[in-house]
Amino acid sequence: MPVEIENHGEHIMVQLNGQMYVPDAAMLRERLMQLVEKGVRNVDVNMARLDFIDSAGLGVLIGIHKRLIEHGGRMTLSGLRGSVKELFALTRLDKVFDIKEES
Amino acid sequence: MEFAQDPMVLANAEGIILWVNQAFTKVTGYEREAAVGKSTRLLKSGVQGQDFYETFWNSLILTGHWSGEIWNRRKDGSLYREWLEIFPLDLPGGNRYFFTVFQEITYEREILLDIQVAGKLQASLAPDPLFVDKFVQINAAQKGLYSVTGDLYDYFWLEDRVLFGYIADVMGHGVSSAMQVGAMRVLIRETIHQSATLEQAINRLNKSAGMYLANDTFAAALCFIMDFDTMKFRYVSAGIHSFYHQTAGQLHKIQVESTYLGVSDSAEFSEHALQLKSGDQVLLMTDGLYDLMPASIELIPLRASNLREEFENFLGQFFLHDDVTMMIMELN
Repeated sequence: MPVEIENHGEHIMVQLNGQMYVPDAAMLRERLMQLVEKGVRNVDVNMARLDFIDSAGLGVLIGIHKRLIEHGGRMTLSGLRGSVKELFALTRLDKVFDIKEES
Repeated sequence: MEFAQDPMVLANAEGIILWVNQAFTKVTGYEREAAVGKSTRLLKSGVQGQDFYETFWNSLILTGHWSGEIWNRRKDGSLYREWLEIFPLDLPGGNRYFFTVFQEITYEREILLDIQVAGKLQASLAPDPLFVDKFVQINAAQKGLYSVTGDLYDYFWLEDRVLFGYIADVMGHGVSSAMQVGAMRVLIRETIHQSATLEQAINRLNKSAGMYLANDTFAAALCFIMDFDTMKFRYVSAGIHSFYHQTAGQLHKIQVESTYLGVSDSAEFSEHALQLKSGDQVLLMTDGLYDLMPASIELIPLRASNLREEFENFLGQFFLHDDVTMMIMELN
């Protein structure tokens, strides 16, 4: 599964795996938006197993991030590596998101 | 034809119904047995006046064809609006019949038609995709997933020999993005005229764009100012991270780090410059295209004159997930 979501009430953990293209991005958006509407305020996204994300996937993360900020919540990303990490540097989204370096 | 989606009627020259298909029954409520042998006036609503029917019959007699909107009445008495086309069928022996096909104009269909009109209006707001003068040739090509697009491009002269232009992409596609595109176009025009530098304009644009890029939306853009006195191409990237520069037969990919518009008020955008010379080309494109293009832009021969044809050929190979826009500027 490219997307796994663990729900802990107001706090959810999202695990992104493999390669994320438009259809997975659309599904991720749908599921996360529903959870934010239901009151989720903190989203942790683990990208340690993510090899590729395209502009649609980035768009979903930015959109959810904007929604969470509006509601006083936050999104934290972790495990960025390889081309995904490079993409976050290129888009300077590493300065927009809270990024937790892997310990 | 029996199972066609659109209702169909065959009538003789006197307007007597000879055959209807199943879709006819579904829309009008008249079973085949109830319709065959009756006059086509069976469906007459009384909404159209005598003038309408005179024009209708004149057109049929003179041109052998009529198409247009008409109100008709169902068996249960309710009115409905349809788009109707009627053609004559002349059979050997001199017998003339009329074949009619119509589509009910439902609320959904009306919306669809309206979106098509909006798409044409939207395209009319963009400058002419092809521009040629003694300094420069510009050619732009655009393809939306729907009739309207969430991408935009623009170019205009700021001064006598100073050209401003950009391509931009509001995330998402369809009607909601198209509405934001309209606002962005006006906002960019206003901001560039009120700013001393390109860099200042884009930083201002980012702050004011938040108002138009509400909720989870944001935009990417690459804006430039080309000064034909100094031949300097100044540009600011805001989420469109690369473009191509072709000079002396060599193609260079220029990559720029930058974030998107409307993501963070505190984001900063900086200006860069390229020295161009006569014969150089600059190619800008939106994300939808980069996603399709695995590092092999050479697929498209870079010429302003053949851009649109090559663009169509190139896009024909893919199933699009996003609106795509490309703009090429070629210095004479």
